[in-house]
Amino acid sequence: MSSINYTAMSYQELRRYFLTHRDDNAAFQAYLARRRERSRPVITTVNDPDFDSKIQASIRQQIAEYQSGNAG
Amino acid sequence: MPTDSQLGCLYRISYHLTYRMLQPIHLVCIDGRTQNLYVLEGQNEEIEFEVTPNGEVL
Repeated sequence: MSSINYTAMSYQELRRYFLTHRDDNAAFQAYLARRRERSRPVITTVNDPDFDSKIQASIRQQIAEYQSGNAG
Repeated sequence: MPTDSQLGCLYRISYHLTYRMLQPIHLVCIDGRTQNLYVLEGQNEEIEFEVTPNGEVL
């Protein structure tokens, strides 16, 4: 049994925690559960002719969001 | 096991991440509750994608 209270952590804290505790599967499952609570937009679909450009744009956007979060 | 649609998306996402953008991939797995394929990537582990069984990328 784990004594870690995952619900007390923020989304980012929980992500940081499971990344640094890779053997703690319960932490990762708690993170996935947290992700499922969030509605996320569809970026693209498998047969979209613009699949590649949309994936590249999303990668750039996620990197930029991380960097702006760190800067602030 | 992932679906053919998920595998096709995973290849193309992986190609862009590793070959075009030079980003590492840290974790690939299926979320047992949703059956979505989950991928965690990035130099700072800051990039995530999910692919639904019918090939929608979230």
